[in-house]
Amino acid sequence: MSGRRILPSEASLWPVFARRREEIARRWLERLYAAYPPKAAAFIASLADPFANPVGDRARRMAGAFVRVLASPRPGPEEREALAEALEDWMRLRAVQTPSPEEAVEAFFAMKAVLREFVPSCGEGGPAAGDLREAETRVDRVILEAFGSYVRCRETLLAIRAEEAGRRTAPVPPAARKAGGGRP
Amino acid sequence: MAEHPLFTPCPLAPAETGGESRPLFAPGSFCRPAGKETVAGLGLPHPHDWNPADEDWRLPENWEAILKAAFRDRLRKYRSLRVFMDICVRCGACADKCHFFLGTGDPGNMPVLRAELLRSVYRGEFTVAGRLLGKAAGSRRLNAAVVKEWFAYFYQCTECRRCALFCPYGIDTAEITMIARELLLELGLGINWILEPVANCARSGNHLGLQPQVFRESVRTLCEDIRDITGVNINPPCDEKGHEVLFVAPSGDLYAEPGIYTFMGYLMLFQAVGLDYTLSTRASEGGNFGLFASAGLARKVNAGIYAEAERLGVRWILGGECGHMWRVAHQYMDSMNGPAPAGLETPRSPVTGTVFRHAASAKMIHIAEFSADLVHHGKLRLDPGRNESLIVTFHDSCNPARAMGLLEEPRAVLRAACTHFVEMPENTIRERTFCCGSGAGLNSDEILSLRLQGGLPRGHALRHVQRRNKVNTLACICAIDRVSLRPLAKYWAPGVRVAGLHELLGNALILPGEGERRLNLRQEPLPGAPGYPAEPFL
Repeated sequence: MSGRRILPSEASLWPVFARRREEIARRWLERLYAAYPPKAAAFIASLADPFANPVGDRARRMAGAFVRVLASPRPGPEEREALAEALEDWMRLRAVQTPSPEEAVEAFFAMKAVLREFVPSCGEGGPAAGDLREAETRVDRVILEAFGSYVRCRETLLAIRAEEAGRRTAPVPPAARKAGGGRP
Repeated sequence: MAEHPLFTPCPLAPAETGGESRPLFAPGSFCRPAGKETVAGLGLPHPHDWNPADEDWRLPENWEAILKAAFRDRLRKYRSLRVFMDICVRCGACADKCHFFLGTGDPGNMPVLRAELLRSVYRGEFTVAGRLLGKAAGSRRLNAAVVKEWFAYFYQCTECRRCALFCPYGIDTAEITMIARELLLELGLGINWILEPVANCARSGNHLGLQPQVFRESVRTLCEDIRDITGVNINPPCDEKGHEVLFVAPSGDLYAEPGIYTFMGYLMLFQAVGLDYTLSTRASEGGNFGLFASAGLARKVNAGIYAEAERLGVRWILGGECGHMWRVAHQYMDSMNGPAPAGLETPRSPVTGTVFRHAASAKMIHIAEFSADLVHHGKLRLDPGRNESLIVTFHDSCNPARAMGLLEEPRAVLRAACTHFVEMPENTIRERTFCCGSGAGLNSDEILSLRLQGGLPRGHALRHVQRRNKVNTLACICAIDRVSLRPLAKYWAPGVRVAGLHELLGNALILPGEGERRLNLRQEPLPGAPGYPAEPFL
C-alpha cells in the first residue's frame, strides 16, 4: 500500500515500477520465503553469501530478474535470458524441495498482488491501466514458464532415478561389460 | 551478532519448533530399513521386520531399559561423548553449516538441533539438574516419539563434520550421530543400505559381495582394457605373499563406471613406477560401511586389512581413492584393530625414498599421497595434453579433507595431469567443502530427492564454475562420491561428468613401452586423435 496516489490518466506505470524495483522485489521475496519454516526463512533472507546460502542466492536472483522484466516497457534479450536462467535455477530447487507443483509455483501468483500494492490508483482506462494489464500478462507467462520448468525438472529427476535403479539392478562389472553387457 | 536470527535460543527438538519441521516419515524421506534376516545375520540385537511409516515400530517390550543401559554404557566408554553432551552452549555457530539444512530448509537439520535430540534425553535421564528441572533445563524423557525423531534426523546426517569445523568448542557432531545410530541398532533399527553391505563384507570380504573369482576376473578384464588402450600388458599379483605393499581399494571401483577407470589408473601407475605390490581377494574392500552403523561393525569390517597384510607378509599398506576408508585408517584403525602387525613398517616410497611418518602407527597411506610424492619428485612421465578437452574442478571429499587434511596432494596430481584446473568458490572447498549429500550410508535411491537437496550447496558451487569457467569435469578421491556425484551433477549442473583422480592421471601417464595413445581410459578418442568430437563427451 506504500505510496499510493492518483496517477494522471496519460501517465505510464513503467517509470513507477522501475523506480521501485527493489521494493517490489523485496515484497515479493517475503511471499517467496513464506514457503519455508520461519527459522529457515529468517536465515535464507539474511545471509548474502551466495555459496553459504544457495537457496537465498537463487531466490534473490529470481526476484531481481523477475522484477526487471516486469518493470521494463520492452524487456530486451538480456533481461529475458537472465530471467530464464534464474527461473530455471529456482524451479530446479523447488522441484526437489516439494513434490507439489501447486506449492512450487504458488509464490508467483502473489506477484500480481505485490504489483498492485505499488500501483497508483489509475482507473480502468488510460495508459497506466494498460501497463498494469501488460505487467500482469507477463506474470502469467512467467507462471507458465515456472510450471513448465517444474515439470521438466521432475522429469529429469525421474530419469535419474530410473538410470540409478538400472545401475543397481543391472550392474556392469568389467567382466560383464566385456562379455557384451550394456553400459551403465 | 545478537540480531542474527540463528542466535536466538534453539528449541530442543524438531517437535518443539512449533511445527516448523517437515513430517518425519513422508514418502521419500527415509531409507528402507534393514530386514530381520540381515540384522540377525550380523548378530545384532532384536532382529525384526518393521516400517518407519507405520505407527508401531515393534520395539522390544523393555526398549526403554535397553536404550538407557546402552546410552549409559557409551557415556562410560567415551569421555568425548560426555563432553559433547555437556559442553554445548547452543550458540548457533553450526546451525547454518549443514548441507541438509541449507538444502531442505528444515530447521530439524540444524546440527545443534539434531544433537539436542540426544542431548535433551541425556539431561532428562542422566543428570540430576535435568531430572529436577525438567523442560526448564532443556531435558526430555525417553518415549517412542523421541526414538522416531532420532531415526529421522540421525539418518539425515552424512557425518561429514562440516558443522564440527565451525563449533567453537570442537564438538564433533558426526560422533553424536554415530552414537545415536549405535543406540538405535540396540533396538534392531538400522537401514538396509548400510547393513546389507556390512553383511556382504562379513560373507565375502567386500560391500558388493563379489566372490574372489569375480574380483580376479574384473581385474583381468580391466587389464585387457589397459592393453587395448596402451598396448602394455599388466598382470597384477593377487593374493601373493612376499610383496612389499598390499593395495586395498574400495570395491566400488571394480563395479561400475566411473570407478573402474580409476582402478585402471591405479594399475597403470603401479606399472609405471614398478611398485612391488599385491592385491588381495580377502582384503578386497577398503570402504567401511560398518562405520555408519556402530564401532563394533566398523572394527569388524576393518579387521581384514591388517589380518591380510600380516598373512601376506607385506611391509606396508596402500589404500585406493576412498573417503570414509580414510577416516577409519587415519583416526580409528590402529586403536580399533591395532597395534598393527609386527611385520609392518612405516610406509616408505620405494621410488622416491619418502617416509610417510604420519602413518607410522597405522602403516597405511592414501594413494593420493603416494602419487603426489611421485609428481613432486618428477618420477612420472606425463602428457597432460591428453586431458586437454577437460576443464576440471575438484570436489574435496569430506573425510579425506576434514579427517586427514588431504588437501594439496590431489591438487598437485591434478595440476600435473591436466591442462585446465579451476577451483570452486573458496568457502565450498578444502576444509569447508560441502558434502555430496549421500555419505554415511545415505546413498540409497529411495531418498534421491533428499540427497539432491543435501547436495544443493555442492551443486550450486559446481553450477557456478560450469557457467563461469566452462567446467565439464568434477574430479574426486572417494568411491561414494564417484557414484553419488553423478546424479548430483546431472541434476544441478547437467553436462559435468565425474572422474576419479587416478583416471585423469592414468590418461596422462606415459607407460614404458606403450604404443601410440589414441584413446582415454573410457576408450573415447583423445584430443587430436581420429574421431575426436567437436563437443567432446558431454
